[in-house]
Amino acid sequence: MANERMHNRRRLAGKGLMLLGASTLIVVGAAWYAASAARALFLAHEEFNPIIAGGELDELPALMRGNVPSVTSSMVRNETAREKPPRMCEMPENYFDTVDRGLDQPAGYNGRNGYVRKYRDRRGFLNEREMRAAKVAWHYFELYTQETTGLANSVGNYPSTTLWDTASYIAGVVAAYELCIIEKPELDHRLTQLLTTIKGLELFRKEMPNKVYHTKTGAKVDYTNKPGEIGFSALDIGRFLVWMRIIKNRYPHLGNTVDSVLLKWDFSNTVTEEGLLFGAYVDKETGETVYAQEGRLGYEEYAAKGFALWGFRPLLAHRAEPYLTASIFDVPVPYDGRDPRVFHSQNYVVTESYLQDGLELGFDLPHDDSSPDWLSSDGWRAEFADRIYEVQEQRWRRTGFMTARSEHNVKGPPYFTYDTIFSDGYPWNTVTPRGDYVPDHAAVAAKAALGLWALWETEYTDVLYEAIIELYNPENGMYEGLYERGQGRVEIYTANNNGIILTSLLHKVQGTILTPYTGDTEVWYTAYRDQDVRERRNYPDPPQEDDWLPAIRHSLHQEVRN
Amino acid sequence: MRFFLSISALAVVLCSSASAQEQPQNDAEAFASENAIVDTSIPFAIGAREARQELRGAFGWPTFQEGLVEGVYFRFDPDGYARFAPSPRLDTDVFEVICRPGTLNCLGRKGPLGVYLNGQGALQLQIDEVQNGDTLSIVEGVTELPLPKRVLMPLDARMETLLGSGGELVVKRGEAAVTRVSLAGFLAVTTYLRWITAQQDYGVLPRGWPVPNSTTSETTTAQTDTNWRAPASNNNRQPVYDRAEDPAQSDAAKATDLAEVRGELNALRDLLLSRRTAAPNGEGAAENPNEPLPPTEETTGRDAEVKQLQDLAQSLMKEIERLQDPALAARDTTTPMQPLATDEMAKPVTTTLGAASTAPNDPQAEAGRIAKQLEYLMSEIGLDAKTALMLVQSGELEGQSSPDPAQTMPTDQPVAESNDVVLDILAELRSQLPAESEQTNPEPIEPKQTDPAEFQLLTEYFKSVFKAKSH
Repeated sequence: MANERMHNRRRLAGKGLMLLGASTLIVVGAAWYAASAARALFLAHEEFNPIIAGGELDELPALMRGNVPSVTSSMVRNETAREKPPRMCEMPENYFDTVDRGLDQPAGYNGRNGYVRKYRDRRGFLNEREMRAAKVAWHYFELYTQETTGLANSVGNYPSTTLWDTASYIAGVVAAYELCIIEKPELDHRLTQLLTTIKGLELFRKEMPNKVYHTKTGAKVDYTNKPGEIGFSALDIGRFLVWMRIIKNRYPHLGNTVDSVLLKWDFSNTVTEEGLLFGAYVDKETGETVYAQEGRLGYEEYAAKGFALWGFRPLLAHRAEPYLTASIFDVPVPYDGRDPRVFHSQNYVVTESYLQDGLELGFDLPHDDSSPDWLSSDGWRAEFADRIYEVQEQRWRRTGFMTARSEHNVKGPPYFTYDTIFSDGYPWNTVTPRGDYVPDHAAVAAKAALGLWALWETEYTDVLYEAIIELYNPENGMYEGLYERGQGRVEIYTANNNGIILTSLLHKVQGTILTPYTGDTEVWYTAYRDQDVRERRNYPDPPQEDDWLPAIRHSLHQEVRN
Repeated sequence: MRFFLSISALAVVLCSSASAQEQPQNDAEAFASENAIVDTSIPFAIGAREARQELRGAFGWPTFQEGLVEGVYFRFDPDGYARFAPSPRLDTDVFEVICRPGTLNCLGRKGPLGVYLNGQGALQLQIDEVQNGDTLSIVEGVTELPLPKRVLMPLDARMETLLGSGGELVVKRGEAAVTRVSLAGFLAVTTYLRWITAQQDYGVLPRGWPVPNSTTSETTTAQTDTNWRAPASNNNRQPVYDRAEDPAQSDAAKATDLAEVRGELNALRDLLLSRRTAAPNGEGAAENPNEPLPPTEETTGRDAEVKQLQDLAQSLMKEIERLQDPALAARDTTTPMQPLATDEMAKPVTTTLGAASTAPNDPQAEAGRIAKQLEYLMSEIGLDAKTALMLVQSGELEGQSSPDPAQTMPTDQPVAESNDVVLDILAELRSQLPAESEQTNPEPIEPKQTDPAEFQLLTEYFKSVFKAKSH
């Protein structure tokens, strides 16, 4: 009995030992399997996801970022980039038969917030009258370009200019060349001399170009054309940057010269981190530089796109907000919502900035190099521009006043007026820079009339065309405009007026003036990579898709066309 | 007639200025920093402020001044251009002030009504299309106050006060009102015109004007009762002339000016003749060391006087022609005028002043009196030494019966440096006339007998000379 009990105990112990051994084996095996699986998994990740230099996982050092090309819509969407049109004299006779005008496209927003306008722009060769107007407008620049500097006078023979008006001169040169009024040697001579002068200009406090320069000497001057300094204008610089990009993209052989001009400037106080544009002026009491936000709805967005064309990200400046609308002839006219009493800056609604956006940039976003002319990727800008046009046509239809309003120079004091669609709470308000109401200076601005004619092919712009196309003095250029109250012509000649008229005529022939960049890297993005200059002067890196300005629409127009 | 001539001359000049602006390529040139005549940082009234303009273009005035005074809002630029209106937008019922480029010659206008300071610093109205037989009145509500015809003459203090009190100026032809102009802003505009002409001296502002810093500034003492005395009745008021001449002045305007000069000389001659005829040959004549001349000799003497003046005018004409050379037509008129005074006029002036300065009976008493006058002018009035001396000389020669300079000297008229030369010439010519008259007329000329027109004539004469010279 005792032996049997002993035997049973030994049998149980043996089974227990066997069970323990088996369990141990299972655990060890499972652990080995799990470890092997994990190892295989980790090893496999390392093998298939390496960090490639310049790749997505590679945090590029600043030294190398300039080599990355700017990303445009044609790259991302695999679309065909637009091409630079030939000069007018090199176009085949049937050139316009093949131009896609999108006549079958319905108006409205698309899914990407692009906008198809209700109206189409005019396209075709220039007729004899238009060619004559182009030649007369160009004659202004022949007459008033200073041989010593290559700068053109802003107004007649008064020897001063701004970057805004210099951009108008560049527009004139480009248009004259593309319309076959001048040939390439003159184009190269004029632009090279001009850019060389601008590169050598003494900057405002070693920062950015002064607001005004003497065209004969190239010296920085004040508003009375005496040696001195005023500050700088972000809006003027923004327009200048648009035209720098246009000539760099159209004429790559001038690219290095263009880059070298901009690489002299210090943008550290011009574009803020949140994307606002700041200008500068001198405090009269202390003499110190004061930086102040610059630009209101219309001009601000246009200038912002100029900066964005060079890699900056003026996110807030490109937004319409804060904006309000004023109902004029049942058209909701947008105007800047910032209170002039608080910000001490007027919110003028004029045609000019919308025209420039349409003519030069096609109401497109800066990264867009592939959408057709009839589709505006910066949708809200095109849609707002339509309203600006419509309200002026409505005024003509309901009151009989031909209307093409813009800022323009006038003879004698106050020398300059904002001939607005809306400002200070009043429609059709004509005011001086200091705010006086001067309705006698209301005029059909020649540049606005021909700009509207170029971008809106309508019965109304035909009337404007007839009023303006022969409004010139062959000895001096196109007149500034036609007084609304019957006082005749605005007998003054300006670079801005003649430049925009030439741009309008060029747009009829070639469409959107800005053409895509055809190179890869740019000196603008690669220069000074081995120094801290880029950091100090706030030079940007080539914009990637994440840096694009957003395409947006506004609450008034939520409908989507798919 | 003279006033109408003045109006016509001003209109011609303004028209010529306007026609100059019609030239297309002169527009930009019309803007010049030299046209700045006003410092916009000096407030016109309490609460006014200098503001900075946002300019989109390449040129223009970077600052202006805006404010509210006497119930009207105003804004003005450095070139003097100003707008006054009851609404802050300055859009209705606007009184506009325009100055000839680079000069202190400014004209306020509202519709057909114009107001300006004439050569003597007196306010004068011009109303377009007023005809003989028209009646003028001020209407406020149902009250109608007829105005005398002299409202179109240089205004006196009462008339200024009346026009500045508001209402509407109504011109009637028969029973029909042909013109109605609101007088809102009249006081502010006329004060502005005086202030500009006085180169922003607070001394010319009326009593009670909200002068900035008036509680601490010495300018408070400069607000005198005489500020609004009509200069037409105050021959001592020195006119302020152009600091520069409009280069675009037309030939017609020049011809008008020259004709006016000749006319003034003829009038001066008539004046001398009539005075000579009216003057009695009394004791004064006997006491005069110079024996009275026989009638024929008197005539000869007067002719000599006139001839001398005409010779002087001719020399000035020559100088005008010489200065019409663009190279010499500098805008700063002070310096170029010096050679004229020294070269052409030094000899007769020196002679005349020399004769006058040796005339006093008691040199010591005379010197003491002059010193007293100088001290008064410098310490009480605040004039600089040169100006005070000039005024004393002028006073000596004009009427020695008025020993108290406070009664004769202007206390409210600042003397502009740029006008020193003109004033010098004026003083010299004034000294010349009575000094030589004493030779032929033993009777001292009583100040009360002095015709203000005489001074006005000379003023206009030299104004025209000055204008032509600054070309």
